Amino acid sequence: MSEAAMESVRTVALSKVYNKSRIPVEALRGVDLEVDKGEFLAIVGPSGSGKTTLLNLIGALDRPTGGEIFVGGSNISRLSSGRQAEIRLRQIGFVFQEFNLIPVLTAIENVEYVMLLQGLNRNIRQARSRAILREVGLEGMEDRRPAELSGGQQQRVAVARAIVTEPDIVLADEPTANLDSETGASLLDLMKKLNRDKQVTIIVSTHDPMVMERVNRVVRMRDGCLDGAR
Amino acid sequence: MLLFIKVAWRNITRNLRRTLITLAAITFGLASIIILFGFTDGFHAQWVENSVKLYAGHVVVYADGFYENRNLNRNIKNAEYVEEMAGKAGGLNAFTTRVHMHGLASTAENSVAVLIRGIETEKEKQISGFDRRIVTGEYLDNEGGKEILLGHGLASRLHANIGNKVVLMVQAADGSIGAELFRLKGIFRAGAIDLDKHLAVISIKDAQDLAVIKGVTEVALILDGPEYVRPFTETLNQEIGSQGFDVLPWDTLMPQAREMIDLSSIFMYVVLAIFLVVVALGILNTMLMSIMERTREFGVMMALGTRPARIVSLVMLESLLLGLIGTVLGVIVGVSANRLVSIDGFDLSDWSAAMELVSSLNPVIYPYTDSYSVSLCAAAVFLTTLVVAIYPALKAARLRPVEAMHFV
Repeated sequence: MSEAAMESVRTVALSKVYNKSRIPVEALRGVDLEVDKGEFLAIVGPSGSGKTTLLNLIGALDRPTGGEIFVGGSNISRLSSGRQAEIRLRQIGFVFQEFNLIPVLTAIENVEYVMLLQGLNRNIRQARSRAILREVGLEGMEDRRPAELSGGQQQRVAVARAIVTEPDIVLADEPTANLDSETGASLLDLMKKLNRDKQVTIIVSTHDPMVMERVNRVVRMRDGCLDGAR
Repeated sequence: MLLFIKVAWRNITRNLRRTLITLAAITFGLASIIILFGFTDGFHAQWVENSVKLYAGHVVVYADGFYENRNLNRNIKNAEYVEEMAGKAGGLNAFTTRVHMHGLASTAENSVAVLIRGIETEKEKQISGFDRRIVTGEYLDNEGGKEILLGHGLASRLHANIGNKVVLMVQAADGSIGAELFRLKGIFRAGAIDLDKHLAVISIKDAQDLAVIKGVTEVALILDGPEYVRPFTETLNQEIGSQGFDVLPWDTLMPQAREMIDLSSIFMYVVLAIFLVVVALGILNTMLMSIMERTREFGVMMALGTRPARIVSLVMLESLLLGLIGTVLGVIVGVSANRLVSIDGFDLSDWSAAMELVSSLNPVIYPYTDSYSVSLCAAAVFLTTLVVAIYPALKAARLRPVEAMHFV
């Protein structure tokens, strides 16, 4: 396989400057990162080091101030809002720290939602959603709304939502931060299984040593720069 | 798509109290404006109906040229033919002939310029109903009996009492001065200030004798309803318009009444516009609060790949559902209230003197549910709920996912 075909994500001299109360704050300073297809990567570093900003840029949730981002070989640095949405819909799955489920939808509807946006028909959506919820251990809880689920169960729904469309990349921003260690471990096992069985590239930002033990590679960030690799 | 509608519906019902308050504002606001329109439409309908019966008819047929210059030589000699043709036009309810002329009424005390109306005494009971408007004395019961009815204002100016002599003097069709002595049989209160001050009513035979004519000056036609006026006038005009007749609808004969109604309608549209602004501000407030509360949620939806256009559609759909429910409820409440009030009417007796200045109105107004007015109000309110949602929808769609998801 060629080098380009192996590449899942590449950032080149990526920088991001926020203007907070008119004072420029450099969140990222020339980050160069390459992530191969099927890799399970952890980005670690203290709070404010730029982990979340980097994930947001890779996930086309934000635009960089400078540098380039390539996802699956395509440059996504300067796309319109609509094109960014399309990239997020077709290629990327997100797991957020705060679970971020849609509160008015049930577990199964939350999982279905992305497939609805993709235009899949109801039968396929329902079948896939039920299967993936079973896989993450939420069989029988399909019709519960987020408020009726525990934090761990909500995060499992979020993972199910992120992987149900089999995206190329799953981005997880501190996915275990709000979970107890047992639930966190089981979630990581699930992600590891997904990474191993379906060769999905997973990039996780974390402080959690348990996460670092399970990934293929760890990169450290400090003050908006990458420190090095393990 | 069903899931999308579910999201919209559940968003509406998630904050039930706020939704109910917004719905109440739309419903009762719309109901109020429908009631107000019902009252005004009822007022207009009654006004037109009474005016039409008192002054002219829904449609009046004159001999060609009489309406412009009141020349008594231009009278209708074959009223039966007009009646026959009118009967074929569809919608004819009643028919009567009259002789109208200007003249001078004199008593021993005073002389006053008057409008003289010669009527078919029996038929006219069904139309202008002067028999029911007599306040002193009696109605005419003797064709050619030289009896006269006067408006109460006119009787007062002439210092005439029942049984007194009243002399009418006119320029007859042959150019001579016709004068005739009448006995005051009754005094009426028409409820219209101009008629009460200037109208003298005699039998049509006496009027023909006075004017020295054998025909009548007008054929008044009462139709089954005002909605027949346009088609009836067109049909009858096609039939007899070229045979020496003028066929004129009531609003041509009473342009001031038409203008008053138009003016009143403009006023109602201004009220409607003010009401719409109030409704719009209420809904805008609700929508903006709802958008702000759900900023984080919109951020998540966008992060998952929801396009901005879809966010706009979702917010618009929520407003559409809210507007639809509010509009349907508003129509039900408004129309029901109108129907309920129209059973006994709305009594304005305390202001009857003021109403007399306007025209011949009964002091009890019966609201009229006009489907056009109801549709107009409902459509205006419904469209307002949609238009108002555009700004919050665009605001939601312009959120940046990263910032929205961190919104607290």
